[in-house]
Amino acid sequence: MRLSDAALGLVLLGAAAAIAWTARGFPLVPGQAFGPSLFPGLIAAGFALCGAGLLLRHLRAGARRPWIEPGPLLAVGPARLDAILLLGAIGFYLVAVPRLGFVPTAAVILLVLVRRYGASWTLALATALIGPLVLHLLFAEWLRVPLPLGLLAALRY
Amino acid sequence: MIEALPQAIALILTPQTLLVGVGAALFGLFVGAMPGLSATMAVALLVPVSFFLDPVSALTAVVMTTAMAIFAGDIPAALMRIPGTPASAAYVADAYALTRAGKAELALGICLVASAVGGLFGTAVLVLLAPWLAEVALRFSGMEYFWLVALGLSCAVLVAGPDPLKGAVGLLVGLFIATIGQDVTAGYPRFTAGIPNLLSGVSFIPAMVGMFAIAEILRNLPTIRTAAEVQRRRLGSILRGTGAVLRRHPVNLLRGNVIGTAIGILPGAGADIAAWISYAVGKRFSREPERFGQGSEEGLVDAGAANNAAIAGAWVPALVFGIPGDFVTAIVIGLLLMKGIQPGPDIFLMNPGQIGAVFLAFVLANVVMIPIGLVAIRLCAKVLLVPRPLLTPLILLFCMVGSFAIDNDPFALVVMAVMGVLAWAMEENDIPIAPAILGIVLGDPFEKHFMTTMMKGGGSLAYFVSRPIAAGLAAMTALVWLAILWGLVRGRRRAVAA
Repeated sequence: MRLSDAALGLVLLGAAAAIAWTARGFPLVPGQAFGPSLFPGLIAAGFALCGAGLLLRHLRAGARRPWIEPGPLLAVGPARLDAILLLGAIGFYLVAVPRLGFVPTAAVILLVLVRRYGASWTLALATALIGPLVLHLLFAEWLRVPLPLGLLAALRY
Repeated sequence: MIEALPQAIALILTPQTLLVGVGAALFGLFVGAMPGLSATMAVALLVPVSFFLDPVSALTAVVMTTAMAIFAGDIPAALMRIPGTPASAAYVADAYALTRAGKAELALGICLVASAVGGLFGTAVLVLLAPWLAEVALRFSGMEYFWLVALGLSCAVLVAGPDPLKGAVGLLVGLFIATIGQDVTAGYPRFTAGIPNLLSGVSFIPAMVGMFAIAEILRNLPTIRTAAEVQRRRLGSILRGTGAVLRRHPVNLLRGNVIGTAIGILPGAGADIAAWISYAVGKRFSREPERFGQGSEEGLVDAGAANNAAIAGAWVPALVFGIPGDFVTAIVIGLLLMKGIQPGPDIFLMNPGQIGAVFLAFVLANVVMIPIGLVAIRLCAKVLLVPRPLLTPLILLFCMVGSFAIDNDPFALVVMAVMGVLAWAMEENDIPIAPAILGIVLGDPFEKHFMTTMMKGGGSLAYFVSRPIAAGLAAMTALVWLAILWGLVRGRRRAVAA
């Protein structure tokens, strides 16, 4: 997603306003002249300056670019789906790990993504079988990270 | 520092540290050689594992990984015309042209030896300069630190790229992220959106993993199904003729070393910028500039030495002032804080043994680089055949588990994903990442020194320059901003002329 100078300038002005508005409510420590809101206020001012600068540059250059263009990742359908699946995998992990446990969740993610990204079914299946076990050995057994066992708990105990 | 040598040797010559070092070296070679995986990503992936190691092993692992990864980036550059890391991009055309001319061994040999020499030079500067600077820095108060951090942040904007306005935006994004969580003066929670996990701020390591690994995966997704072509030919003796080339171009080697180290020390600029600048300077002063880009041995010497020299240079401001010289040291500062070691001038008094061990790790890394590199070059053709569709999901999973492992907190995954998408969106819009990283790392100390100086001076801005060193640093900061504004004006003139 590529924004033109004008669009980016507006986004920055919006961000500056939001930061300044939120920081307005930060309380002062009694007896002190400045408090938690001073530094965010300066950042907001900086954002506003940059935003105004970008808008100015857009006005001087004259409108040539569209306001928003899809970049290489968002322009083509397949790549878009690749990206959604990638971020979806993080969401799926968060939801599934407490219930299924690490090894099954990781296996599902690897099977889907490896196959989707262009490897053969055999390779995807092999990765999904071996990968999670290696990661489990490394992190849960060796480094003692408490990865949930989930479905495998019954198997192990 | 010399007194600490026996202690440093004892710390580094333990079986665990050596084993970790060898493992990290192999890991660095692999990640560096894989196109699309950078040295910074290697270190970001390493952190969750090093979290469980003692400080010396962890830092040794980081040093080994970076040194090897930056060299290994040259291998696919020579064999495939694809830089393994961005630091090899400057001279990829020359390395590949030599390969096409049947001189792959020479190209790789020059890269390998120049890398090792550059690394050793940078290490020498680090060992000599850092303790001396630390003694000077011991006399600094909050005011001087404020200006030092301001200078570092300003340099990051200056070197960030062709568009200073967007460089400034990058810096502000980083500073804003650093304000999230309880503030430094009153402990009031800011911008947390009511999420308790954000009270202590945006967790640093998951943020780095997101910005370096997840963003990089996203950026490389559109080309994930294109397989690379590898030059498959049996390689002869790698080092034959390398010595002669280096002896023919001693000035290039020295210049590459000096430029690389200096750029490394500069906050916000690391190995990749060092290589570009050294290459450009080499071309400017060469007797045959027309050969640059067509297989110039000189260009390889210049830039190949510079990127490895920059690695050690970047540790100087990181150790002495807590100001990262590049991305890797930004992560190292996070790692040190995690281990309860506060970077700053005191580090040389409080942990001389550990710092000495880091210096030794640098020497060791650049000495073993030649034998390990020779083996790696032979194996590389096979490593490059690991399909990316398989590697990318595995890296994603590793990132998720690694981010979780730092605090055993699932919220870290949310931080990782959000920061990954943010870094990707910033790069899509030509907003540089380097100043943002510096803003995140230095935001808290910057605000702390700013607020304390404000309070001491009763809000008077004149108080900020009331000590001579502070005034000098302030003048330097002002000069950097003049240069930035000059770039802005010049860029506008060029745009109008075009």
